[in-house]
Amino acid sequence: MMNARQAFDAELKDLSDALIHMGEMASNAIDKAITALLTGDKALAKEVADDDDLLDEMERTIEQKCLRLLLKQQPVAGDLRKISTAIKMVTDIERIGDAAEDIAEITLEMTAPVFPDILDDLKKMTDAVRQMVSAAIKAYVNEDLDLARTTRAKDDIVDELFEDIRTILGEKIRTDVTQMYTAMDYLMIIKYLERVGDHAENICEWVEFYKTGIRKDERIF
Amino acid sequence: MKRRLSIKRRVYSGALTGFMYLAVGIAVAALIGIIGFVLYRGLGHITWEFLTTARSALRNTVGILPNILYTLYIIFTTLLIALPLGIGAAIYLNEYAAKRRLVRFIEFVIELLAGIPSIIFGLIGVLFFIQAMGMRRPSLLVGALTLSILVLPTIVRTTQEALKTVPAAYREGAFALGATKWYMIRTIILPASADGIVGGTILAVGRMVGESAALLFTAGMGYALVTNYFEALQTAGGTLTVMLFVYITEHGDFDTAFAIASVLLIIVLLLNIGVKLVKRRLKKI
Amino acid sequence: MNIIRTKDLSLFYGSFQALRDINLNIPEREITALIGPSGCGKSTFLRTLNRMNDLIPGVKITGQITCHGEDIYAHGTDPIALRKQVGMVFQKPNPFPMSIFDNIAYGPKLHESLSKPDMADLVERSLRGAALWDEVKDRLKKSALSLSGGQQQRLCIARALSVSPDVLLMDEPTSALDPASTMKIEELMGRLKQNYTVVIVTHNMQQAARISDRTAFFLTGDLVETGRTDEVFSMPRDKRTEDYITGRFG
Repeated sequence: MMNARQAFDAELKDLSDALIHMGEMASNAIDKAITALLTGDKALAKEVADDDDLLDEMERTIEQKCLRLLLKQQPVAGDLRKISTAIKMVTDIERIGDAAEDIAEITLEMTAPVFPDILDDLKKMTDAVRQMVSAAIKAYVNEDLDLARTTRAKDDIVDELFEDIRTILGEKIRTDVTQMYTAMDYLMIIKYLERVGDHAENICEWVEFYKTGIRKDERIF
Repeated sequence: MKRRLSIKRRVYSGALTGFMYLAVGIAVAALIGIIGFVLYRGLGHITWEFLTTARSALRNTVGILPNILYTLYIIFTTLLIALPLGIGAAIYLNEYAAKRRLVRFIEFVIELLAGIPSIIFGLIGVLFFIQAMGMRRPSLLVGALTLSILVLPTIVRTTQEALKTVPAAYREGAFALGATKWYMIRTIILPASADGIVGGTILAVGRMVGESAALLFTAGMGYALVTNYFEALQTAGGTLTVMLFVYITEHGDFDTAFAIASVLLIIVLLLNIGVKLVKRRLKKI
Repeated sequence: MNIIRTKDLSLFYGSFQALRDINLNIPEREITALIGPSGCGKSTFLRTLNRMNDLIPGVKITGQITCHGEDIYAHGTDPIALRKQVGMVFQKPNPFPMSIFDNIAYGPKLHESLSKPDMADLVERSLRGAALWDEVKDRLKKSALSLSGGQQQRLCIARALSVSPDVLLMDEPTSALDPASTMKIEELMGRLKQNYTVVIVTHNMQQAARISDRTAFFLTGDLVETGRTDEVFSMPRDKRTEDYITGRFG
């Protein structure tokens, strides 16, 4: 059967491509921010801060695309879900970029090396977050409902690690007040990481909505 | 695209335009010429006496009052017979008849009827009404019956055309409100097509006024003054057109003939004005 | 409460089957939209509900349609009484060529004889019901054809209301109107559903989504999908519905 909406389909594909590209950039930004943190690579941290401007720019472009499509095409059904998913997802992706920038900025001002007793957990946490972000993007790209659901579940691991590290940092401050500021920096970093996990979870929820019309176990329409 | 048309095409186009002006010119000139000539020869002989008295051999005067009356009587009687029949037939064909092939056949027959020369109707009038129906002699009634058959095709066809112009949406609208078919026809279709039906009727009247061949032997050529309508129906009487023919062939009286022709022209003119007025009135709603 | 139910309804034009085993319930005081490509049978279906198809020669109907539980095609059912109960508004406004007042009075005159003041009252109520009264109250004796297209369509709605039906069938009622008139009619329909059950055929997807409570999608004589409008337009169950409403379909 002839497809009467080739132009519209091409625009939807552009939108998806832009979203995927932005998702990959945000995922990379997190990678780079964490690498810079763990290795103390200030140049890399600087790069992450610059990347964020690009992500902001992309967010605006995608938002415009979505609103223009809503106006012109008045989409329904799958098209409507795709575009509303994009318009919500783009915010989460941009926030991931913001978190990467925030981590990078802390890294730039940090002088002391990483506390050895949190290093292990921190690596585990960064790995988990990194995986969540790339899995969420992958779930969107492949419209993979199962992947979206399993990825959502991973947020619990991130939350647990956050609690563990926080306890250690709290202990540090209690025993050695001189290390308080460094500990507070790390507390902020893990908070950012935890937020990134939340955003990845949100993305997964939107993918779920796109596929099922259900978000957080509730029909939207 | 500023290029002009080729010379050949310009010549061709110019010639065609010229020809068309010529054709229109000839037609208009002929019409004005005929009307002008008739009125020129006839108007002078129209007097008050001519219009208001009957012909008198004693006083040797010519008057056409009886013939004007006969003409009106025949028109009235013919319409009385032909209108219900014609409109009824048209309504049946358009609104009721379900079999398309039967309708097409009837329409074909009506077309044929319309094409038959009127003298043949006169012949049938004589044979059928006077001889077979036992009416014995020509009379206005026989003439009207004959004319009814003659104008029936005109009335059926124009009524059908008028009915066809009523949008199907009106019919649906009425049905959707729970109207029966006849109620719908009576309250929607007929009023909406009245315009066209009146037009067709006037056309039929025009034919009656102009008819002579069919009336010559059926209505006769009398010119005694009978004012009572029912009495007149049984009398033989000549309509204006018939009398025009009679005055020329029997009396060689061209002056009277042209006077009658002028009267006929004026009647036709009045009819046309009448149609315009009626149509305008009907258009108002 | 379903006011109209169809059971295995099939319709044939001669040997051509225009509707195939349609099972559709029309809930009371809701707007049900019938959508689908041209020739899918939605208009035909609409016209079976007040037996307008009876007028077309060669139509054969099998299955059952009930209105208030009564079989409307049963032997002895009076189509005229049915059409009083199930009114209809058409695609092109079709006021009769008579005055505004007479247009509205036409239907009531068929079914009952009213005194002059009663009739005037009924005409006013009907015109108010169709949100037209204020615009025409000073010119009731004027020809209905002098109204604008949108006003004419509301006049037709008022005319349908004049015989106090339960159900209003609307066959693409706004497709011949400009956007402002369309919006007025949509607004009106929202109010009408407080008292009437409305079934509307529309080619305008946004209109169906905006105004209807339930949507039924027809395709080549089949009822493909029916459900709450929100659901049909956000998450249709059938791939063919999705293809049609998103415009990816021939």
